[in-house]
Amino acid sequence: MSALDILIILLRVAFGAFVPLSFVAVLVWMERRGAAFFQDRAGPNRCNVYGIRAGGLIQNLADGIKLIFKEDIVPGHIQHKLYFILAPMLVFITALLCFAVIPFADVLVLGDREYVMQAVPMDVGILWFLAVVGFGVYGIILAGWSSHNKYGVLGGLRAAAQVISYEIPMGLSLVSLLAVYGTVDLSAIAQYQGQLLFGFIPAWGFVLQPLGVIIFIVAAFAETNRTPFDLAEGESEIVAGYHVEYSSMKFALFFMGEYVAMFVSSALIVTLYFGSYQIPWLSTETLVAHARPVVILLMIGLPVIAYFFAGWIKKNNRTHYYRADDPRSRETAIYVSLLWSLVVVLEVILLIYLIFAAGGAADRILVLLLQIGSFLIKTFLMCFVYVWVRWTLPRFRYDQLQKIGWEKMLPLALLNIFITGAIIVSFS
Amino acid sequence: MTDTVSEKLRALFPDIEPQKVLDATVIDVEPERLMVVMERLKTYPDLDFSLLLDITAVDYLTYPGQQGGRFRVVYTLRNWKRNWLLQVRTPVADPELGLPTVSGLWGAADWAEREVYDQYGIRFQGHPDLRRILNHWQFEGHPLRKDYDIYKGQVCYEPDRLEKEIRARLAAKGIDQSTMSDINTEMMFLNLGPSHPATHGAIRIFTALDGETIMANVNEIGYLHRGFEKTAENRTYNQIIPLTDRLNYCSALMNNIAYVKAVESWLGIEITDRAMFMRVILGEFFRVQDHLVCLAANLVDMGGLTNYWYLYNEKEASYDFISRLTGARLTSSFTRIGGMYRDFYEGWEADLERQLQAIEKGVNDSLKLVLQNRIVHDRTQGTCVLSPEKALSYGYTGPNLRSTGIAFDLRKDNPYYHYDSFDFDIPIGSRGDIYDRIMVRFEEIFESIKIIRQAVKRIPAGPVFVDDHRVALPPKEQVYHKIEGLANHFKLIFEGVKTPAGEWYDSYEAANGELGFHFVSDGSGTPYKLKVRPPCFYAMSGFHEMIEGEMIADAIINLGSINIIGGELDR
Repeated sequence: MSALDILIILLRVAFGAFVPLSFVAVLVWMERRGAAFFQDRAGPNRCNVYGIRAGGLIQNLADGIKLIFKEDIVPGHIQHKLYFILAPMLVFITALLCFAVIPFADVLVLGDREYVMQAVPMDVGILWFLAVVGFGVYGIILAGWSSHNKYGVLGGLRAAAQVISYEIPMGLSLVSLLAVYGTVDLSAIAQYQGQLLFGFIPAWGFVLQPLGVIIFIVAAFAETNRTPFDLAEGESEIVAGYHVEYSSMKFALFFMGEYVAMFVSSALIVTLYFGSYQIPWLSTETLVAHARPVVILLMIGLPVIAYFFAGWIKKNNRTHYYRADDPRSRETAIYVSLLWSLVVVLEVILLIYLIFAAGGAADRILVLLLQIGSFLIKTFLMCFVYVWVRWTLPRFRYDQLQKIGWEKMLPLALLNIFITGAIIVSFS
Repeated sequence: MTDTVSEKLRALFPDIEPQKVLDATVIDVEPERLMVVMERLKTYPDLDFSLLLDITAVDYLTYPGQQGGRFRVVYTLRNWKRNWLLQVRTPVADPELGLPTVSGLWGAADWAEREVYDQYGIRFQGHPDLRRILNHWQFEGHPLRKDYDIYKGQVCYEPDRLEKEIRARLAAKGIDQSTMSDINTEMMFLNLGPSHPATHGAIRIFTALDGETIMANVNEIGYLHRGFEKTAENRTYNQIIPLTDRLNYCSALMNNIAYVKAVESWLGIEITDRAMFMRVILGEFFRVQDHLVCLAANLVDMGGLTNYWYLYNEKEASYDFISRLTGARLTSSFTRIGGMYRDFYEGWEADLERQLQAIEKGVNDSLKLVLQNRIVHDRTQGTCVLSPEKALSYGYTGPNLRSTGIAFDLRKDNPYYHYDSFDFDIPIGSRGDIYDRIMVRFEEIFESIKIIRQAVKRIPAGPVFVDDHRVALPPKEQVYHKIEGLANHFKLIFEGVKTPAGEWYDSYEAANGELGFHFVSDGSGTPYKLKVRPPCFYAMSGFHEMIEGEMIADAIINLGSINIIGGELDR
């Protein structure tokens, strides 16, 4: 194993571990600002470090500090302390582990070696996801049961019933998808979606499986325990459900686990149905072959985007009444100069690339970075859909939720399998 | 109209002489005949007093020139179809023996009699569950008796377990542990509240669950009991106005209006036209506020938090208008006996209109999220259904009663303040489920806005206070320069507005239903007795009927949909 191999392994694992974690901060921020946007209010915008508010991101920092320094209570009535402490870890770790198999870029070819861009290169792919995500609910059930609290038990029961009802349609909608792709390996699935259908439509999952994508997304929403499926938590009904007795970082693990799960299931939806890291109409080979024009386009595009972004910041980030030596304007100046320095740095890097490194391995790495960017943007947008739905829909009732799972989604998923099977058989 | 009720009563009970007091007909009945009379009043189709509004008692211990016994129980009944109001008074010789219960005739009597027992110590023979209700279970004595010291507080040191009560309720429904053990399961007892995110106050909903289905339910109230009625006996009439703010704190000004309306009608004061229109405008404005709060909270209970902001933001903005007008956001205390505290400020029409448009926009935004929403429909349609008979029996009034299809609204049926001259509709429901209760409130918001717009167009100029020195403070000019004026001012402030001796009941269509006040006056400037008829006390008394057999989640949204306000419920 060469030094390069080890470096790439380290990078992949770091990506798999830290990207979901850093996305927790972004998603919490997006949830709050998104909610505020839907609800006609401002959202968190006061927390700051020396006047820098980073659009509300500093609030997360404050929350983190608060949660770390809060007293970590294990209530006296709890009999199984081990399970009580184990439960949040389980929720968090299983959520994080799911991301390990999701490819975030095409296979990197360096010389004669190929590196699969997954944290853990495995060809079981989607099966790993199903296994691990199913395990995550044990954490919730365990938390509800070991809390020794009636609300907790009800929350745990709801979670258990919900997962059983929704894993089946989820699995069945995957069956038809896998029949289309002919593989369970997520990397292969992602590569498959780089093709073009009839020569002009990207062969993304949602085009091939229009019914399957709906079933899968609904089931994925149910898996992440978010509104309209947040019955296990059911804030207004069973107070906080399974995590009613948790405080401090143990609560924070549940909280972060929820957002990691949301990120991971968005990533999986993107991987399975929305072309993964693929940029539409630009396959990996096309990009590698035309690396120079792509870079030149980027070099032109970056300043233009930065210009409009800076203008948007300047327009909005100011005090809307007279204030001597407006601190908001100072803040804006800092943002704008940071933005432009970032652009300058990127331009210099791209320029160095154009002059010295064009062709060969550098092209491959450039494409890799572009694809990572594409993957993250798509996942981010999918996460926004999660936020959007949460702040639009009310909650289901326990029995209605199961009715939809068993009476609507299950037959639809089966129907989808038959239709898909018929089409595949008749075309092959 | 009431003449006919007198005739009918005379025909049925020749020896009873009905009297007319304001809108109400009053009859005195001997305790022995009480059951017969009450049964006939309820079941006789010509009388059909299907609504038991209130039961209260009067303690005549210190009443000047009192003849007869110490206690008297007063039943307030209503025939909603013909708008007959009837008060049945019956003396109680021995409070320990008390009276026979009427809880077999009206469901509302269950809690109403418990309250009389709690406050006056009058027992009701045959009552299924005669316990204290507003005061805690360790309380000793009966606070509304005249010999109970007003400054004597009592602390509760232990919660009431309620286990006996819920087992009795289970037994009444024919469920016992053996049926449960047949299917290898156990019943779970779960407390929702007193402090629970969905109780919006402090109410204890004690449930026996099979899975998530509620098998039996017993409720405990009184966590917010602060002795409004006892305090009122120690205040002059005008001093009570700030206390009424705290009854239904979501529509504080409506309580102010209802209270002063009751006093004014006994005094026979006709307030100025401008004051009447002001009361209509403000009353309807607060009806809108009350519904906004109720709907916002109800949709939050359902998990639709965005609705909360669309509705509550407008309520919040409305408070700015209210504070410009009254100086306070919530505790408005804006009315006085004989008129209003002051006139509207300059330019109020524009502010009000802007606010109404904002409310319409917020409500329409919220309706867009709700009206076509399948989840909302599934959650609310057909759940926690209240039949019209049950609603009447339990004394439901206001939007909750109208949602069952009964078109009873005091603004139409017993109009006051020119309500008969306004063009507005009374929305009614068809099934009495949660959906109907929500939608009736949504519709009433638009109807109230309609009334406000008409009233703003028609409001006349002129004084806002009557020129009657029995109630109105003399102008400062007279107070400073004339001894008569000074004496008048002094008397009104220190002794209060003097009301003629007597007893009367007057009611007002508040946002939640019929808000009634039962007064006993001994001719002084403070009420001898003041009893509030809070609409949501009776709504809560029928709560268990609605949620038994439904699920926890339904019980939660049902509690929001009947709009329980702690301040009014517990007084």
